[in-house]
Amino acid sequence: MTTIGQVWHLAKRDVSQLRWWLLGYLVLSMATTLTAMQIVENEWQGGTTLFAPVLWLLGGVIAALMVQSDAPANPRAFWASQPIDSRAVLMAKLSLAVVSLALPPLIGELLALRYFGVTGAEFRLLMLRSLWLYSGWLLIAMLVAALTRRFAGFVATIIAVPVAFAIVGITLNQSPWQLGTAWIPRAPLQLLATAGSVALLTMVYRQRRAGRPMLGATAVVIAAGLLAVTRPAARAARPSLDAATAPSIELAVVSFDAERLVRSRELFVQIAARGMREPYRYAFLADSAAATWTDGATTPLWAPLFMSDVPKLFGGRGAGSDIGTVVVMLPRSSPEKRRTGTITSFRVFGAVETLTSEHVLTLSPTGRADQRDGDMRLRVTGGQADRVNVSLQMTTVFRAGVDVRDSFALRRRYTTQLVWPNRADTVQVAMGSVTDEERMLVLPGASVHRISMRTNGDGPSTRDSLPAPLAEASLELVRWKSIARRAIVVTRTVP
Amino acid sequence: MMHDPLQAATPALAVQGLSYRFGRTTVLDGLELEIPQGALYALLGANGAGKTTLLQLLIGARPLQQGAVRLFGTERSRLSPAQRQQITYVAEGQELPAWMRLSQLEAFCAPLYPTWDHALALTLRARFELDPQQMVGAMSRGQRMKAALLCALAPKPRLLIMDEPLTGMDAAVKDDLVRGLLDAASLEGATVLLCSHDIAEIEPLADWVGILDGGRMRVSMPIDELRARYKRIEMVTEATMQMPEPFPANWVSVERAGLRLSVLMEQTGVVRELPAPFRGAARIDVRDASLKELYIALAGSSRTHAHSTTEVGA
Repeated sequence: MTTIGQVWHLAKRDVSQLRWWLLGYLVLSMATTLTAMQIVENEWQGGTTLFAPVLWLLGGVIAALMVQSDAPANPRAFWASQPIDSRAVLMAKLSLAVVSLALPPLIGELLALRYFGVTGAEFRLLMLRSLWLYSGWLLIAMLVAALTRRFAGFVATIIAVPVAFAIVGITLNQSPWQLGTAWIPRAPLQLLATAGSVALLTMVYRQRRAGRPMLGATAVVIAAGLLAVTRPAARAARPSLDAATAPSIELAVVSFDAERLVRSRELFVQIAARGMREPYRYAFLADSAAATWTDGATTPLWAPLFMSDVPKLFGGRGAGSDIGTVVVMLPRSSPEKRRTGTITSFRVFGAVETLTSEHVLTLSPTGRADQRDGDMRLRVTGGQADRVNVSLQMTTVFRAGVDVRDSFALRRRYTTQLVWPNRADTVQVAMGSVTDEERMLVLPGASVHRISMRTNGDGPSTRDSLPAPLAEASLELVRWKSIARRAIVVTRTVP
Repeated sequence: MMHDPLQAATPALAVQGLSYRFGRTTVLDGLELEIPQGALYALLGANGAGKTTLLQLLIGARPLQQGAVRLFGTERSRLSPAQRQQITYVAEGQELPAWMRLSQLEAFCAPLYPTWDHALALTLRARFELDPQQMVGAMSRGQRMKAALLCALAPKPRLLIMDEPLTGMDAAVKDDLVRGLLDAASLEGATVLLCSHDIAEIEPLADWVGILDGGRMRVSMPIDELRARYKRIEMVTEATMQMPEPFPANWVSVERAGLRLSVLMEQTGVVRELPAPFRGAARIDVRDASLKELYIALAGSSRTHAHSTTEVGA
């Protein structure tokens, strides 16, 4: 039997042995794809974010079982007693891992991206990154499995290495997942992790042993992989303009607890963004809300609503929930706080910021972000003659394609003082990349920048000062032009 | 199976200067070994002597650190797939795919060997009373060894390497396995390298014997030659007789119990070669040494002293 014949022979044997595992993996992969594409309704909040890690975990487990069924460093392994070329074993394992473990989710992701209309360079970039994410993880899992012989050893190592990583991070007084710093180039780490895994795997199969140097090298490779996939600050690239389609978001109130409003003046409202067909992060911003009671009276609610989410694709980037919960509180001064009765409807007057293509920025995959990517000028028109202090909050919202690691700042506040009477004030704001503590997810692809305004809390509210601040203010970004927005009214009648 | 006479002159197995270390522990130390084609070679050695490591090195399950291994004249690393397919290996503790049925195991192994003999496999399956539908993982230890032996014999190998196949088996299983081994030995031109602790079981089978001790082969020769070279001399001495000091160089081991003296002597059992004081012993018996006696004497001599006396309590 030739070497290629042996590869085929071993692969068939592995498929036969792991058929139920592989079938489960395929099903899970399909489920993840469908939920990511939102073809299958995903009412369960976070449902898909469960699928994606499980898919990853299962992929690693199957890869480990695959390798350990013919453990390369075990002289008592059955294959070692047979006239089987160790290269054939390695090729069989790698081929099967590519075909049965890497391809299904990649094809699923490809379908999802196409479904969402992602094309061109962004599509290629996302697919390339996904390819690395899957192949890198699978290779590392296979390498650990090859060195550990037993599944328990594999599990222990897979757990121990990140724990050690976290301990180092804690020792250095940093978040474990932010060990990477701006000066660490990411691409070489990825390259080291991938090429190192392949090289070490080849060595293990060739030498049929796992010595201490091999274990040390493996630790380096795993650390490189972890560093590469974690989210070092300010390693994003300088944005460049790219075209993208604005998302169309339809909001619907899923549920709210009216009794709680009566009890504690708080109203938890679940709002769903439906009809999302593009992998965009969306932001929902409402400037007013009202509750209508059974007697027809309407209570305006103090409702600084903000909701944003990302319908994420999988691959460590779970397909996100389209349901968010917002809290609406009755103002303290409202006479309605003692009111009893049943709310018949709940209305939210809000604005969903949709982002036109001219604001969608693509981050090139290499290079570091400049700390001063550019200046922008904010001009507010149509205010009142009151003097108020206004804080400007600049938020960088990322589009999907949503990478879990590297971040070009998600959010940063820039505070400046405005003297309001001027009908047209100009503020210079420096925008840069910063670390975001809240999210691990990032996009390699495009980003969208949004500016919102709010008061600093000492002065009158923005709404008091500006009759309809968000509706009437026009925001102009010198470099990134204007942001479009449209008002949305969401109505839910309570039976 | 016919072989070229010139090829037949080539040893089935030739090992030169083979050394292997586990960390700082040297297991094999410049080992030299040559096994002619067609031999049934019994490799003996104490626990930890390095027998399993040696066999794993021979089949390539471990990387060579130092030295050379040639199988049928070809360096191990240069064996062609066809040559590799002429060598089979069975080891105690060898992992078999537990999830397979025996029939699946046979179906997996058969394509790996062009010489796989399905009829022989059926015969062996019947002889070993193995159920083809039984899962390997559900087999007893003896059944697993039988299954492994079946997979090693069915290809009709030119070289069969076996590592402790009889260890821990009951008498019936041993008998089955030995008969299987005899089948292998009867294969034309087949060479069998067998490592076992069960010296009594393999003594009738082996025609060559090697003793591994201290990382080297202390003995490696045809068993008949070994028997001819060493003789056991037992005598009843007189109370006044003095033990020679030092022992003669050809005394491998000496046991003394009261007046009874037992000497394993190298090269000759001729009485006249006894030291003068012993020639007049009351009774002198000269007999062939058993393989077990030879093994204990030869393998043990390096661990204690080459020429030692064992006082057996009278």
